[in-house]
Amino acid sequence: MHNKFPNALTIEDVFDRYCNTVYRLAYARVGNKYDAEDVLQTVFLKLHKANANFSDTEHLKAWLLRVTINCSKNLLTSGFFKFTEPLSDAITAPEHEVSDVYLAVAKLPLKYRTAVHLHYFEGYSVKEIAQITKSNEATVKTRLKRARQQLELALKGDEIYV
Amino acid sequence: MFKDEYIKANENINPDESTKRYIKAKLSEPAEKPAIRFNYNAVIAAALSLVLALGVIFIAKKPSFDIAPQNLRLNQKVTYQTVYNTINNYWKQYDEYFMLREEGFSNIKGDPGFAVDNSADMDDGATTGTANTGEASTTNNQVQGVDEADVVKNDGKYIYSVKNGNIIITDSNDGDPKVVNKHFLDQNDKQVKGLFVNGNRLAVILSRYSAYETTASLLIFDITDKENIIEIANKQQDGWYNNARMVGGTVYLLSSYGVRNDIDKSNPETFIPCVDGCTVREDNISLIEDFSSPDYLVVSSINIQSGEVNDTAAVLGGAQNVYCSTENLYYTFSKQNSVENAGEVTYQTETTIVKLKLGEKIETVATGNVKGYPLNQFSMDEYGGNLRIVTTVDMATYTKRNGEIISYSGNAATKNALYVLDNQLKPIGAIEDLAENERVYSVRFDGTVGYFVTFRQTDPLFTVDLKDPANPKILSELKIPGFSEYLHPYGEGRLFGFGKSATEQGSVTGLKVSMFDVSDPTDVTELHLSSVPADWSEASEDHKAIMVDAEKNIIAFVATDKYAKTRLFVYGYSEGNGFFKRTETFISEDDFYFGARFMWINNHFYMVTEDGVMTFSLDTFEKLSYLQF
Repeated sequence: MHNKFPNALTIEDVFDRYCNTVYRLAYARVGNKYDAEDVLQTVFLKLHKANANFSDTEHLKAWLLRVTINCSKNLLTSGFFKFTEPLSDAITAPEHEVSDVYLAVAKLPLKYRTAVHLHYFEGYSVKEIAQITKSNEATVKTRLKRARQQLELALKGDEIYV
Repeated sequence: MFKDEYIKANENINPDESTKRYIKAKLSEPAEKPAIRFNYNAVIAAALSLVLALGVIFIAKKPSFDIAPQNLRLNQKVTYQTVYNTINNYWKQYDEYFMLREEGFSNIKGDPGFAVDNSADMDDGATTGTANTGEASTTNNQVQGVDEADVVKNDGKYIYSVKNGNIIITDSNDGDPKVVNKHFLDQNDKQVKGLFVNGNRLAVILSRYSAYETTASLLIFDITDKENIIEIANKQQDGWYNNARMVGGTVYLLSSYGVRNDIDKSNPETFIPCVDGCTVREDNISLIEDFSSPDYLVVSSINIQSGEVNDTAAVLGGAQNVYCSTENLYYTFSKQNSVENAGEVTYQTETTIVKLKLGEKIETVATGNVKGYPLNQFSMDEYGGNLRIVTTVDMATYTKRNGEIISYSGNAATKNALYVLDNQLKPIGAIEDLAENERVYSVRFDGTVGYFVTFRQTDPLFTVDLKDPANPKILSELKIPGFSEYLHPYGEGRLFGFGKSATEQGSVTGLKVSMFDVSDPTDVTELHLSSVPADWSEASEDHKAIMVDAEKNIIAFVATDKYAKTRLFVYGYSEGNGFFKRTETFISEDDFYFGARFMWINNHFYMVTEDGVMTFSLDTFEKLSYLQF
């Protein structure tokens, strides 16, 4: 069968390589393990079924991140989430061992923490984040800026590096 | 160290092994819908912009192969019919790919704003410095005599800038600037992308992206009376603004026009771009066979005095980086190709270069192909009729058995190369396989010498001898921590570098300025370096945001530190003491500060932003005034 993945990767290879990437973004957005796992599964099943061809691993990765954002968005806007506590509270008792820095990020609004995650963890530039999140560059810049201001307040004394 | 801690925290966040096993088991079942098999090139085409935007990361292992780039041919005898067939064929393949649409990644091609605006240096800027009175600096142009459009220009007395759709004309007035005109453009939803000034003419480049219409236009004003400027021309062409240059009195406006998939054979307007109200004629269209995306590069030459369009050329085949000499315009597009050989498949990025001859008539001259992809416009340089280009080559090899790819064979690498192409873009000289597993961060050519910086952990500055174009030679390789993102010759035997400092292990620590001694090209050394107390600067991404002037001893840029404070930094350089700060002036609490430009006119230095003009003494760099717009 024709391989839709670049560099002759199989779906299992792709999963091994990117499951953490997808899970971490999902966790940053939904803030709990069970929903993050749900997003992880949905994203890879979508990938498995997608009539897609990927030219290279960066295209593939960007696709995965984009779909992760969509899937977690669906989850967050679904009825269940609307009637539950805000995320910031949910994540203060995390299932994973995380530091104060991570908790501070978790308390940011959803859009900010998505931008923060893509910028500081995935290392994407403002321009690239704008493409992945389908927003314009100015918006992403503002989100990062406000996020930094809030993080600085939250982490008084800690230094925030670009 | 927020970033490091955030990364560290994330490393603890992983799905459980049991969850992973469960999902993987589900994935090993066949998918409900089989993937449609189709032309690999078309896929690459669609995602090409992404390849360039994000770069390609491969695991580094020593490669053991070499493949020649595919040659894309130029077809200059096309009819509307052949263009239609080519595009129609492309979309047929593309539709299959586009099953992706519902997954939310439809932007790859559909949205004109997305596809092209990513290669490092598409936007442009600059001034020819047709000095009105006295002496003045110009935009930081790559090539002498080729002006690049920019958001701020001066004519030796007046400063032209843009704010909220207004053209602001400021009289520099010997260090006591005064706004003489705020001219509202009344061009709703069009964005000003750059300006040119030439004698009594001001050209304003506008761009509009919308679902219905994507156009680039050039407004020309008679600015004889600064207080009352008169619009004399408004030329519009299809496509989003890509680039612009001014050579002599001619403005070359470049736009990228992506053809939609609802084209109609009987109506050429649906698949041929329109310039100044007319569909481009068949004899002005060329087509690159086996192109990577159905995008035209549309080039118009416009006389800035008369406001008339002299000529137009449209080349179908996509465009990313643009380099322009006084006589020729070169642009590139890149794609990934695969080659099979003895049970192995090798993927490699390749670049096609298209050469257009400029003048009264714009002619498509030739196409050429090289391995790898260029970083930005500085990766290219024309000298003695030849084009030199530095590229980064990504490759990966996989094992194939019984017609199926079965495994990644571990052969993947990035390498770097320099090619010399003749006036028909045929390769005549090359150096390949440089700096394995690194990629190019900056390039500068200076006549018969070329410099480029690659980076992974340390910063090798390569010096190349190009006296014999058929035999380029590496003269020296200097390794230092960090890397330079912009190189600029700084007087006799000196090369300035602006970039980032890094530890021996390769992690970036902040901005730095470096001065290299290149007087003996076989023994280049870093004479001085100074770290800049800031982390981010627009100058890393746009050469127009830095002024490097050896004669006036000025290195000026704006940078933001970790506390989100943005400052203007002006450095000087002395042989004995290295870099010294001429001024460090706070300008904003704004993070990611864009759009500050620098100039000197007679005895004053001006920093011009959207918000106003800050004036300094050119001798002492004492801040004299701040005029708010």
